[in-house]
Amino acid sequence: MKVKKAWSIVALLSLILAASIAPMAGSAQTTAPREETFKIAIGARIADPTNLNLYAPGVSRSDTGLHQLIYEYFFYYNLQTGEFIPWLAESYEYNDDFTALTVKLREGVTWSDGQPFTPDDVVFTYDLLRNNPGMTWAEEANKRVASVEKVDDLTVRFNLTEPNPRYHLNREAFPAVGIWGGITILPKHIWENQPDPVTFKNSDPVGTGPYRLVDASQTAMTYERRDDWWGTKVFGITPGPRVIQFVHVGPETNIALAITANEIDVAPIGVLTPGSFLEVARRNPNVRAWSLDAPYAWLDPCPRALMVQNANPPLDKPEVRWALSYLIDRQAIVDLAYEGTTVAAWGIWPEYDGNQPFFDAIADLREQYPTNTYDPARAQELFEQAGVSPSDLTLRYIVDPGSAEQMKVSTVIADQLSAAGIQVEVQPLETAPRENALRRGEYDIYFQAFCPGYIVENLELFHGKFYVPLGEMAPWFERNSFRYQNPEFDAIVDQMFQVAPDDQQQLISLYQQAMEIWFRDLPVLPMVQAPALVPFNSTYWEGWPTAENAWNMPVSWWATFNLVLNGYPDPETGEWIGGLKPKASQS
Amino acid sequence: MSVSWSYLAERFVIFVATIFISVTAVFFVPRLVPGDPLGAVLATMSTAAGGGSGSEELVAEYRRRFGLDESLFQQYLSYIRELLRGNLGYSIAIFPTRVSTLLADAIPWTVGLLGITTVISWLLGSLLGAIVGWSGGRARFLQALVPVALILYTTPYYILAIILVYGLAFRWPIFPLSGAYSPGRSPEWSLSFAGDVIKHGALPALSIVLISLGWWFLSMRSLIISEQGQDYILWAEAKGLPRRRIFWAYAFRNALLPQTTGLALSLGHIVGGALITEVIFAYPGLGYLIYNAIKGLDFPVIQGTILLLACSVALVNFILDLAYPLIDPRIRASRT
Repeated sequence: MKVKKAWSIVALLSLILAASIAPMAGSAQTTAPREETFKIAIGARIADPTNLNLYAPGVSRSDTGLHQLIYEYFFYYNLQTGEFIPWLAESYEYNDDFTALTVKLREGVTWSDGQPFTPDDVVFTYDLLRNNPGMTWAEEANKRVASVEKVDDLTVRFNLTEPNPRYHLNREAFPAVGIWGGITILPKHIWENQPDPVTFKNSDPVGTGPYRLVDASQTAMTYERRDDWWGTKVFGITPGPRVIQFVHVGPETNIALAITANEIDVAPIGVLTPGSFLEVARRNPNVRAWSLDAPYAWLDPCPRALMVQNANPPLDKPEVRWALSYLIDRQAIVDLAYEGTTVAAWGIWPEYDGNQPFFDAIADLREQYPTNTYDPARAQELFEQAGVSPSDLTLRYIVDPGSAEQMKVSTVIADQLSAAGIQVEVQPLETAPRENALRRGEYDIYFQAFCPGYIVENLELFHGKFYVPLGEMAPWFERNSFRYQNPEFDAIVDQMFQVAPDDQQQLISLYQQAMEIWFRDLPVLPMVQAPALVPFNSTYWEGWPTAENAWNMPVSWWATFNLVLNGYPDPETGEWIGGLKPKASQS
Repeated sequence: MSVSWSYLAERFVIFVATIFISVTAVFFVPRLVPGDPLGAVLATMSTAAGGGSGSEELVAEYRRRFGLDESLFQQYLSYIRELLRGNLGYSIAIFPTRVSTLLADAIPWTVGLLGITTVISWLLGSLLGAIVGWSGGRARFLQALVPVALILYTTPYYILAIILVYGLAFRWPIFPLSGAYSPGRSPEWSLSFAGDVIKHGALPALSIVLISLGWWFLSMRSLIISEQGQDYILWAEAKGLPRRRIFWAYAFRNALLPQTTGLALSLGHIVGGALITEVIFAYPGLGYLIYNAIKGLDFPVIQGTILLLACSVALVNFILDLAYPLIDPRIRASRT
């Protein structure tokens, strides 16, 4: 009996607990109805959502929506179509020897506090970068730009440090964005009052973009459409969603559930693994990615290659690097690690239409040097030729334990190399020690993205000017931490940087020469194209770029998302292209 | 009450020494790891941005700002000096955010969620365990709780959490999927916001209560069972005391002593956060902060969070040391 009494106390306690939970269900509040809200999943929480100084290292631009909705850029480069789209600027022009670039700004652009956007803001931003080496990308901007001057109220001139016909494509030095983001022009009237622009948190950011930040937390950034946006006056357009939210709902499983339940409209690259994506798409017919059939994913501009430490014997011999290449079955990587969402790559460039003339021009070289052929017998011959026995080889393979992609790929590659008798030591290293080991060259192989994916810029990654001896810090992972050196190759790349991008004939001929050397030496081993598996849920919104309607890049985390959202005027005809619209059946 | 002053002083010295040693260890140990916090920042940025370069000028500028270019001993001295002034400095990884801001943002959520759930699971687990242990084989339905507790105790936490999310947030959407409050709402002192917070906290809380309940239940049950065989219980029974009185005033009270120590230690560890809960439910808190700081070698944040953890564990131990003689007369007796 006594026990019964105690039991009733427990029951009572449980009841209190249950009662405190029950009435709370079903009182959700959002700032706008779901059908007027566009919800973007983000892969990680925001450490400090009030820290919105996008020139402070470590501040996320993509997850906070800063460079998509608050700030805008002179030009947007649509890699999918090859268009260079004027936005805050109207046009650009180089002088005869490519030492200065004159940019005409668009009339009628204003900051969100009503102040006009002027050449003074541009001049101010570059001065700020010059005076504050603690601002990210200041170094590159200062290396390329000698000075910026105001010509008149709508014209600004960039005086360059050397002849540079590709300056307008350098996102780290010029406010035009293709891949991800770039140099951002700041409002002078806000930033000039800051005693230390590096410690300024910019919690209430003023930009020219179509939205204003209304709420910021570690797991959600909420933006509201601005009725006074300059674009509405100048272009006569209004962005579709009244509210845009960047929401962190937790790990992959939660994001998959949230998309299935129509709680999320789009999720960025690397968030859903192919298996989860297929399951979500099976359960919710409104969810799809770039293409309806395999490989589903859009091609990210940064193909993956296996960096090989050229400075470590016997990897310094091209025959040995080629032998390793023949030992790796790319299709197995595609099938096992990527679950069929990508394709093998012969080189380090994305298969975009704009690049095709270059690829066609080296068709014979690609046949002569089959970089993605799996042929263990040929590998054996090459090892013998080089006097190397694979069973004597031990390869230190560093991986990023935080990257599901790298972890999966490493098992396939390690397995294949081991099958040939090579000892492969896979070593997961967290961010800080990994950065240190890679730049010092303390690895034999590492699986790396090759960015930005432009023809000339990706060749430059192999330039000898980035070479440092083993043990010293290389400029970056893919910036020759693999320590390749070939003066003949360097000379050709230097020449390419002196050719105007529209002189394709000349560029193609130099590309052929460079690739002849590159293929022969094979400093890194091309692996696969990079899949950007971006699930989109069309329950509430339509117009998202897809393979059938490839008007733009399907990216929510790049600055170019602004143009996915709004669409843009065709640079040739001025006709309006694309934009996100409420689903017809909803409105 | 004769807790001697020397006992008190001795405990206090141990308390201060513990903190000093942990403060020193937490300064030196992360610096033994090869790599540079700025390098980690650049690596993260390069992954997000699609390439980039090391930017030596930037690294040099921040090494200067953070005094990382000085000798290790010099850095240690200025660290201790700033610490005594109560200045935890700036985070390197999310500069220019201050460590104190990061801590202040995370502590309420962690302490709120873990404080409440730890106490609830301790109360429920101890009570249920005691009742089941005391009842022996007499109440069949109560015995059924033992395998349930065993299953809960052995279930990996992340699996239970994912099952809860799937069941109660997706399949039957009673609770929100994630977060500490609805996206787009700003924290404020209002009833409706409090309701929102409780609604969002319910599922993470339930997961923690369920998983830690098992341990309290099982340990209390075995404690009670071993108390049951003790001479003083037999003696009380022989005296003819009511069984209820023997249970509450004799067995339960004695068995509660080790449970209380356990509770105190658990409360001390609260500020370590609950990393997996925070990850699965996207719940703000200290666990994720510590994890990210260690991953990125963010020295000031590692120092700040571990200092907080060390202080809180040492403080709880100090309080326990002081309280024990009051709770348990045997400790007092053995010292005099």
